[in-house]
Amino acid sequence: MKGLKKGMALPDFKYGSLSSTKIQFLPPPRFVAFPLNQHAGVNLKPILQEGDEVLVGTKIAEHPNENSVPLHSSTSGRISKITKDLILIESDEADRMDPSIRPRAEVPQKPEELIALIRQAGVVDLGGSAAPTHVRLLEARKQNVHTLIINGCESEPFLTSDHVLMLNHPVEILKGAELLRIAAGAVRAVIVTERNKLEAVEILNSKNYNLKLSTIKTAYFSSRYPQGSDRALTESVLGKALEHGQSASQAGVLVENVATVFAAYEAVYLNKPLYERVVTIAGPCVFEPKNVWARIGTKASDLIRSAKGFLRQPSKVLFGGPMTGEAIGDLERPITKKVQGILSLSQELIASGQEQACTRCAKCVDVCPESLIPETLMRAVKKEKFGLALEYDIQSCTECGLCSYVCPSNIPLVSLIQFGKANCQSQTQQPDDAVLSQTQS
Amino acid sequence: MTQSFLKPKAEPSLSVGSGPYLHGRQSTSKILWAVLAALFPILIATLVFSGWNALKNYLVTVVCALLFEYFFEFITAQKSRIHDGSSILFALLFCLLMPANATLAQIIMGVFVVIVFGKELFGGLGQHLFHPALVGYLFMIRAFPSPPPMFGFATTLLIPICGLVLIWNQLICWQSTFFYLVSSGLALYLSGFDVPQSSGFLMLIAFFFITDFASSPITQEARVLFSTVAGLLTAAFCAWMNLAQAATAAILISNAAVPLIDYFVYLVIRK
Repeated sequence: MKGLKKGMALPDFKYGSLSSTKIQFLPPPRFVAFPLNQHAGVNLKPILQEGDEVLVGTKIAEHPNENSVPLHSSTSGRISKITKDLILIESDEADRMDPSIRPRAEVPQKPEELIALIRQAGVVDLGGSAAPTHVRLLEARKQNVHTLIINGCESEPFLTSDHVLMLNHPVEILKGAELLRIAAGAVRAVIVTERNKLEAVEILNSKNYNLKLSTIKTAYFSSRYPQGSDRALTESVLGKALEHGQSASQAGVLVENVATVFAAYEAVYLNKPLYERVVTIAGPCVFEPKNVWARIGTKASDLIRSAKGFLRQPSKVLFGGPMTGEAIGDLERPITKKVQGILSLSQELIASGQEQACTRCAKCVDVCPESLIPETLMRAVKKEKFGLALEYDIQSCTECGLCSYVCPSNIPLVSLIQFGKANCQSQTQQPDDAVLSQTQS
Repeated sequence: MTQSFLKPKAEPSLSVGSGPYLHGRQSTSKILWAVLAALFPILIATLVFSGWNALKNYLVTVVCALLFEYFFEFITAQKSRIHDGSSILFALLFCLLMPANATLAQIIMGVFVVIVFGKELFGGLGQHLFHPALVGYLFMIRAFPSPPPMFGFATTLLIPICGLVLIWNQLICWQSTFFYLVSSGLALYLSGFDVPQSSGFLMLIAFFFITDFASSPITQEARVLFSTVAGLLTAAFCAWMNLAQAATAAILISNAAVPLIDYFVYLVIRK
């Protein structure tokens, strides 16, 4: 099997948080905060009152919309404040668990039951998109998916949360992969990693020797960004190129992240809702890079403090990886389910020079994994010719960020293309369709 | 450790901006200076062949290129960009095409055309449609007919070595070089031309002229077509003129066809 052809090998900077492969448990923070718009399109409704007592895993918000998932408390204590878009919980630091969290006596094997359990546990795509997993599974069943790809590539620099999860919990991931395979109606599951995680492949293979799950295979490709994108994974595993405009599910493939698989395992086997996840705290400005079990709703400042604070003043603090992540201006922001890492970056890594005129050096064209022409898209968007941008297929852009990374003229190609995509969408689609495509992506 | 050290400082300098938050640290001027560095051994080698007159020409070329660009940007009230190295590169490439016995007046006039008409009037770095050095050379061969440049054996050997270093570092596109060399070389050989004797000049064109970013197509497939067409045209024009004139005309005509080539190749590869 051959990996991604285009794209490029980025410097990976992963050694910092891999100095220990342990995932550290943290004491509960004093306050946890839950924004109510956890995934695009749906605003959850609180089901408890201010002052109510909660335990770890108590459901605190939900929505009747069947595309939504409920939200659970990540600490025990009481609800100190409910506003229009936020639930704030003050911890009593006792960590009392909800009594319903205990190993299930009998593991259901029917896809419908599994999907219902996964929905109740609030499992979403933990690889960055936060799309509800049960929606993706139902969509996969509708498309008659035959292959489930478990994405353990983690091709973004700095992030190691999926890597250490595979090292620490291989059995859980294998069992979770089998559950998701049944739920999606696929005939096989492939756990895909990159060459820099060969020890994870070995551990998974050796554990599967005992588990004897013959439907689950492992594969690895060379470390190349963005190998973890749906399209690259599908093409690499199936060994054939997708047709233009064909999505992974149309090719009979469902891609799920290893962290999602682990959450699905816990939801089904332990009846444990998704209230914590592995988060990488890394970057050149943080004192002790590491991976932690972070409770959803923990503030960024609390997590950075658990890594012994800043070594020097960062110029940017990110939620997620450096290529697709989001910079936060306020360290008091709580993490949500989709945050794989908190990175504190220094100025020398970030583009600092002034934007210059494009010289048509074609570096963006050479790296673009979707074979687009970012240069032409950039010119079209700058001149607001959105028809031309659509003709040059602006909607296929996955916003992987490589064109901006390589651009020697420091042109913010990704931001321009995002702006162009938003404009093209508002011109061509109805608002309802726009919301739908956001939740599905 | 004190508590204040453990507490992260939330200072207002924490900016948001837009992603991605990692950059490859490559810049246009770095690329151009690297190409100039690769050109340097070739310039030295031509000195051995052509003597001190060439050295004088090179020095005058560099000084004039910087002066013309500085004054043009001063007059048009633009920010000065002379540090990016593009003017020196184009002017030196022009000077390499000129015979060693060219007068200083010819060199200065040519450099003026290269910088002002070839580069700056199109909008400066990266905006030119035609290769500026060839625009200057076209002007010179119309004004003062002269024999094509000849390179000694040492220079002929150095050009591919320096060019391959550039290709190895991904500073120029190998497709352009390769397909220009193959198409022009084959066509010239089949038409009975003495290819080994003019190989130095062909390689100079293939490694340093046809690979110019701004006047080439943007996709690799289109660059293959572009350089093949330029190579075939070079061979065809050799029936009427000498090799340097033929290559100049061929590349400038291909430059003009770049938007068309870009568009049609895009239509073909992206069905």
